[in-house]
Amino acid sequence: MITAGIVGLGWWGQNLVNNSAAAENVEFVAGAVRNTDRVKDYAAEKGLSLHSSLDEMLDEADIDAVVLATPHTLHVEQMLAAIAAGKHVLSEKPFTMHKADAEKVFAAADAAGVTVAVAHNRRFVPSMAELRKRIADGSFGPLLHVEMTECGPAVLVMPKDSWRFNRAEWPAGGMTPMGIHLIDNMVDLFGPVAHVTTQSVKRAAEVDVDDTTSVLLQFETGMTGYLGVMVAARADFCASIYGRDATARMIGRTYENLVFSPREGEEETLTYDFGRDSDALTAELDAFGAAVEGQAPYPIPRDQIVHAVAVLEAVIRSAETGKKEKLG
Amino acid sequence: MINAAIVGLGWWGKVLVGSVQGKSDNIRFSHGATRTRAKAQDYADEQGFALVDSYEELLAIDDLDAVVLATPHSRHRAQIEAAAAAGKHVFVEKPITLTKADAEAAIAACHDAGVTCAVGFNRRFAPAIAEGKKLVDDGTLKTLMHVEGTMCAPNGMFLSADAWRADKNETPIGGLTPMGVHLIDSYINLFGEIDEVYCQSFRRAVPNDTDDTSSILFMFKNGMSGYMGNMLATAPSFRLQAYGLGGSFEIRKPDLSSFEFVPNGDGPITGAAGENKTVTKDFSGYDTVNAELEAFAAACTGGAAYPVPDADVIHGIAVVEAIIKSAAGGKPEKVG
Repeated sequence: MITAGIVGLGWWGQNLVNNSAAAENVEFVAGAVRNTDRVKDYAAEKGLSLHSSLDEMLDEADIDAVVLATPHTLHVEQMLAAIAAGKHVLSEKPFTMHKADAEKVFAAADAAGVTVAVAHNRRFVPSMAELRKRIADGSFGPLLHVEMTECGPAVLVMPKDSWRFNRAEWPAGGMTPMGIHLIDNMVDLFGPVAHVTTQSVKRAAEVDVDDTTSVLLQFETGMTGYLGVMVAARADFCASIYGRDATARMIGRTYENLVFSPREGEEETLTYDFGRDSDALTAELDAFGAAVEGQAPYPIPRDQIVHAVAVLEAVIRSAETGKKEKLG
Repeated sequence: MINAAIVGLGWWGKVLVGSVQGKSDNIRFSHGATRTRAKAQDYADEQGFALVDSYEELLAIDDLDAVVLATPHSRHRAQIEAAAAAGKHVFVEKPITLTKADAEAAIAACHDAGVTCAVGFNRRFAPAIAEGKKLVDDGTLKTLMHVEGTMCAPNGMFLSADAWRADKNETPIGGLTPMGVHLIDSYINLFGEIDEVYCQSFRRAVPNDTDDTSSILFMFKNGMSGYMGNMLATAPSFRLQAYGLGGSFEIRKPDLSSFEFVPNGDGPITGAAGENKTVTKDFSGYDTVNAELEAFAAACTGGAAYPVPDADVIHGIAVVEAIIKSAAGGKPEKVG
């Protein structure tokens, strides 16, 4: 069991703390937020010491690790500060906004001898494990194409002054909050991406971010993919994987339904009772704790963490140039 | 009752005949012509129509009102122009041609001759598409944001090397001409004209030289965006989902029989869509091929105009042309 301090106790930070209750390897004992008054009651209930900045928490709290649930653009300097203080780090996604920053963070982690990982919770859902298995055992035959679409109502329901709603944090609409998960899922299942082409538009948002973003991509294997994210729509998720011998669909916000359709033979539907925003957080915190304690490597290899950031960076670049962008 | 001739008696030609023969009061197939007559003789006898040896011979038949073309894409223009010159109405399978200039010329020939030119976009007649169009047109969907569509079939796996569909000149972007043009027509029908496209298209698994995996991004003139995927070497499937600020509708299944509309709720970001007012409809059993040929017969006999406007047909081919150009050049292309 390691002890951790969380930075950021908004909606998602609290979600992480809440789901640590079931974790065996990580216990939150501290929290850092700008306005401590806002979360005083919550911290008291969860037994967290409260600090008004990351630096203060690093000075004052007795913790092994820092977990970041903060705005995207702050991750790099916060990770470097935690590493400099000898702490292990689990950062929310996107790990960083630039590949070069991701590499800088890992170099610092190596020099300090600490573990650094990213919180791609959707790696941990059972339908992803099932897909990984069926791709590996050849059930799909040669892979043709993948489609993943995620929708959420963020720009319709969140306060207009949220840190999210500016083009530094969300440079291509839903790509940084949601699309990065889909990128991670794709990189996990299908390997490195060779190039991407993005179109990103603002149709309905009353804040200055795009709300409708779509991307075509090709993997190094030659397989192709599509990724769509909308942030002014009802929360929803669907994915389809097309192989010569079978197709599969993942349906439902929490990836709970997996429909596997062989080209010849019976369709098979698997349903999982496993919360993407709950059970998966417990699993990722446990995996992080196990990695820190040297029991098992964190299940997202470092090269994939860096590559997912590189894909995100290329998607954003393509949204700006309107052209096909190769991975940097 | 009009007398029509089927030209091309491959798989699809027979579907067209079967949809009306002996079932319609307005159209019947009295004649047919195909590349290899002997292969079709039994079928023609069984369906009660006469086979002739050539297209020219067909056009010379006096009591023939119309030709129905289920022939390779590249032959359509010349066949349409010849039919128009002979005063025959034309029903032509999609795509009408592979270039905008050819489409314009073919349609103009029919106009000049005063005959009907109808393109076989049977999915225009699908009740699920009409249901979706109502939600777009009456404002239920509110601001339109995005559309996604995918059509898949395993057909590419079974093409013999000498099949016309295995020729890259006929099917330059894999599933685009056999399947994708239907979705493009639905997009135009639902959302209007397309401004720009980007396409990537590759061969992954089929045992011939054509592509089997094509994906396309769209920007519409109204500002919304779109995506289409066509796979020709996988299990059959169909999906069209349109997203608006007011909700989204999704049409599924290869016969477009499953329709679902989910209005947007204002529930919390972590999940619920608010009050559940989902509308689902099942249109199983509706024969869109019968519907399109009935509409063609009506248009030929002075009834309602065929419901796919010429301007939409021509724009659809301009989109196809831009897609082919984009795949070749690897960059987005404006629709001409």
